[in-house]
Amino acid sequence: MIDEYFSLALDLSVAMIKNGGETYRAEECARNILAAGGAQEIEVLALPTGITITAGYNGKNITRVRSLKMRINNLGNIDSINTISREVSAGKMQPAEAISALQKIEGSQRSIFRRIIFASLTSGMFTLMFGGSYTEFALALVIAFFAQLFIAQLKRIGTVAFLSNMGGSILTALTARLFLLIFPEISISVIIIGGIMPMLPGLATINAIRDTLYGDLVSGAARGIEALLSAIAIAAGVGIVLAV
Amino acid sequence: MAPLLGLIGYLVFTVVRNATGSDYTAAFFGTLVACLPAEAFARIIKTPATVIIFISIIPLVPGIMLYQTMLYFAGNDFNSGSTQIIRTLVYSGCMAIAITLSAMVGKLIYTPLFKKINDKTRSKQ
Repeated sequence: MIDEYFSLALDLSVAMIKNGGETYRAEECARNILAAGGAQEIEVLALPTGITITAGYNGKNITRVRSLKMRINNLGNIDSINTISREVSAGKMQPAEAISALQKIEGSQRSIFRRIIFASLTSGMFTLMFGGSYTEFALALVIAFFAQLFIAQLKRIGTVAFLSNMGGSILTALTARLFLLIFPEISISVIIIGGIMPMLPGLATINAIRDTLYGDLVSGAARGIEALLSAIAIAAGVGIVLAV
Repeated sequence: MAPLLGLIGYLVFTVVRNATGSDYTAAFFGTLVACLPAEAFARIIKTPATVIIFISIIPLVPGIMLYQTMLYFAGNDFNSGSTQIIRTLVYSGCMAIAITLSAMVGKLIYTPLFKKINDKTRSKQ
């Protein structure tokens, strides 16, 4: 029985970190579930690269570790995982049910096309917000659509996140410059800014700040560096094209 | 709700920028005004606060500044580039302080408050 709670606690907290939840939330999540399973002396150490859980049960100490390499951002998943964790700790849900519910969440992939379409709409709207004309809005829409498609393809063949974002920003700047040849009156700045907006590491930055605030200094620093690196990768991608 | 907060935050940003002429003050207050209700709202619907904050402050992210920095560096203009990157960092620092402040308020004021409200509704049932 306690084994099930252990697996669930590991799965949930790993999933929480993987989808971009805060570190303290992942720790609390594991702690609550183990407490619901009747364990004592629970200690959880969550880092962006792995999780260690140790707890006593019936006079025995159990420790389990899981490492984590892939990190994605999915706010909807964080919310669902949080709900599962709350229900298990309140005793409303059995661990076996929770594990299958978690697998369902992990397995369900929202259609990539929907995400791409909304990302390109975001880019178009940002172009308008930064003072672009309607021609520029339309161009930003098209450019961001292809850039996001490109990023999704790069991610699917398993490139590092920095490289896929860099590829996306190179493509954005390149197509913007090509469109400048066709439509000489447009300003490519607003189009490129709009195009790179969905790629910027906003969630990683906010998580870095919040983790540092809650005392998870290691996670905060690691996430800050992750955010900084991907911002530099995006900027470098644009810079390469504009410098030519 | 989150897009609405984004709108309010950007509105405050514009108003404060016009009133004080400072981007940094504007970024601070814009982020603060967007984040404080976000923390409260997250506790009402019982969802992680990051989910809402992230969406609300997207319009304030200094994308233009980052781009201009890149443009200067690409053009070998390192003086303007360094000036611009420091401005970007200070701007994001202002946003970070505002996020931190609202998270503190959430932790110290909202959490006990909502616990009290929850207990009250539970005792009524």
